[in-house]
Amino acid sequence: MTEGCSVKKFIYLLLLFSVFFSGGALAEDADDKEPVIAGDIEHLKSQVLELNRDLFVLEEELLFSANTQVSVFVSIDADRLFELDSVQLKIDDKVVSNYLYTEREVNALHKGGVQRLYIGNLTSGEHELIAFFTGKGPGGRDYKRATSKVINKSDQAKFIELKIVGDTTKEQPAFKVKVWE
Amino acid sequence: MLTSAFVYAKDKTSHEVEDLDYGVSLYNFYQDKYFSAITSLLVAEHYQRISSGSFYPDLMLGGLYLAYGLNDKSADALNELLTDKNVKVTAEIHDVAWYLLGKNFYLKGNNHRAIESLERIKNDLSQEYEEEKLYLLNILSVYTDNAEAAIKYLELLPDESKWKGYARFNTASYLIRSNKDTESGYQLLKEMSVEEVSEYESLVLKNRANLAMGLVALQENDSSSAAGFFENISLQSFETNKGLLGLGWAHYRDDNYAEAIKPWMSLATNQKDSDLAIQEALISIPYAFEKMQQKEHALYQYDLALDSYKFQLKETRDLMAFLKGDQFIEQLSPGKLGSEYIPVKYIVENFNPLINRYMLSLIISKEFHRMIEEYQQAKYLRYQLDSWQHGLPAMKMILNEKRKTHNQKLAKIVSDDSLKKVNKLSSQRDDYALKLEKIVKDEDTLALMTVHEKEMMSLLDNVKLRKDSLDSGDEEVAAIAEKWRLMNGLMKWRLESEYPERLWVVRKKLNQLDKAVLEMSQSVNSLKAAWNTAPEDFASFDERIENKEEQIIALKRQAEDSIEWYQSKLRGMFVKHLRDYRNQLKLYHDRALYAKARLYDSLMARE
Repeated sequence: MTEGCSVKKFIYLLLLFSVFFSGGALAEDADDKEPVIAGDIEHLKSQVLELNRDLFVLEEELLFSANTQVSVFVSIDADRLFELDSVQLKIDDKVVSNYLYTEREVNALHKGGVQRLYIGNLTSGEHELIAFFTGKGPGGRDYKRATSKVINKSDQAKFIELKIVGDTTKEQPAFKVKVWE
Repeated sequence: MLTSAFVYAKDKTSHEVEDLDYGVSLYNFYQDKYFSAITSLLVAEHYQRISSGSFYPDLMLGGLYLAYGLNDKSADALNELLTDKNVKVTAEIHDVAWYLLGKNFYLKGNNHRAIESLERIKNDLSQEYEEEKLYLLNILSVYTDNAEAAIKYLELLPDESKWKGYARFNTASYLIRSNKDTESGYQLLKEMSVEEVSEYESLVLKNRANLAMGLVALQENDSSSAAGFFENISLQSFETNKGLLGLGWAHYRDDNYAEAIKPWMSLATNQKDSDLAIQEALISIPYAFEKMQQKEHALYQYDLALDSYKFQLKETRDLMAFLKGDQFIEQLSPGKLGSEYIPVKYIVENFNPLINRYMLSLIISKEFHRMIEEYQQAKYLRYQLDSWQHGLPAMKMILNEKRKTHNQKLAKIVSDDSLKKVNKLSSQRDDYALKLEKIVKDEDTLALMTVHEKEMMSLLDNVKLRKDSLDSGDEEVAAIAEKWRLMNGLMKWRLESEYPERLWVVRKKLNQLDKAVLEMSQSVNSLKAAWNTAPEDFASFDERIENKEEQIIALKRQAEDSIEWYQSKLRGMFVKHLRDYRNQLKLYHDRALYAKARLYDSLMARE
């Protein structure tokens, strides 16, 4: 009896994971897979996304109107010449952002992602922006560098990119500031 | 699946940023933060900030929605891209869109539409996605019971593709199960069972193929072949326990009880796992001893099995109580409040150790992973709504401050004085322009003298007056007159020769003044416009905030409901799994108890 049962159970187990075992997603009967609540949750996610977008727009319009808005972004195009640990951003000698990166965030930057580091307001005219980068440079050595730029704020929103790029000829990272028009 | 959803992400080693907003969305996407990735793209779309012509927001949104589980929205975005006549879609984008759409239908279980979409792809997919497409078409053919197509797509997959093994296994299982071509099915499994493999995924498939073939051989009473297949299963794999149990049964079938006990003993010593194969082995060992007429030994082994079952029943009873309590729900959400993405691995690591012991097969299942990810998403939605709800009073306060500032300061800024200043500046500018016009017309070089030159000229005029009043016959006066003549000449020569340059400088200054006047007028006009529209803007902000507040409250209720639903679903899933396991344990326990009693009786009768 034990023998017969065990073989049957094995075959049952095998069938359970055989055809459906794959690197892709499981395909089951649509009715089993989509309980009523699933549709509700999809609808909820969708509604919260729309609300989130509207609130971000509202917040941006209220707090950072275009004529004073300045946004600072960070990007990495330095292969693995520089492993970013943190960035400190100063505008007109005042620290406006200190950011410590997680491994996931650094990986996302290395893959081509761009981080919005700071959004704030500036009056029209000239302002000095200084960014300090700390991390590990070539050979795993501690690395700290700064870059600065005087920007001219007009009555249009200003977008500034802090770029960490790889200078392959010197095998060193380079730190640049790009002002997007 | 998730990474391929963003299939259009540039596959290159250099990442020169082409579009900041696209980059921000990617940054979130690469961290599995789909909610944030979609939001940043939607905000960018609202402000029309995605300027680069090489990006297709609908394609990106289609991929992101798919990754976030919003299949309908994903399909809408992709269909929009494929049907919008105003968007010029390249062959590559066309193929990617159909690929994502096909995958979308596949995930929804709409197999025929999935096949239809995937078959519309021409030949512009990258090799990686082309292979995945063939794999999907293979499995979809299996689901739609089309053996011919399943074999066709399997053959189209290159041997080196990572999908090939899965497709072979699935096709083989299907051909056997459906009785369409059992011989080919067995042949495929047989080939897989003896392959030399080095990669982990291939090894898993090889083990499964051996397990399947071993079970089939057992079913066909071919114990010797079955043993061979089971022995091919590598140790320390997910199939090891089942392989050892099967190996024991293969020997048992040949009445080779001593050999059968060996793999079962090996299983029995591995008590840290709660695999049912181990429980089966525990009760099979004394059964084999009985067959070998070693009844005392069998009795001892029944006792061991009973001890183990009792211990496990006690532990699982405690675990059941834990699953029904609040702590279980707490363990479903470790980590920081408001984390958009918590890896399932991290959640599992923080589980009660008994869960990991008794529910391993559940916590590695796709069903659990899907459910826990959706639960985290629902919790993040509530967190997001909470944050906005707490942020709205601050927005209201800022709006009130702005309103107050507007009432107090803007009135002063756009006061009559300010306007008078602009008018005065404009009239000064007009005066200068007229003067300059006259200078040019008269070629009045003297008019462009500096203050110092004017003083010098005045000095020369005074000297001339005094010189003219003196006796011109006097030698000293004559010398002064000569000196005056030279200096006066020099002065006039300089003024005349430098006239074009001085005129250019003055014109430049006038231009600058023009610009300053224009800017000031614009600023004043802008301020005036702001002054005029501000009350309306404030009212609009008020309305928007109020409106959003109501939406947040309503959506929060829904988020709470879905969180509760997921909690109950997850709890139910765990409880059911454990209950099934406990029922099986009880069954083994009762069988062991009955067998022990029977054996005891026979021993007593013998004595």
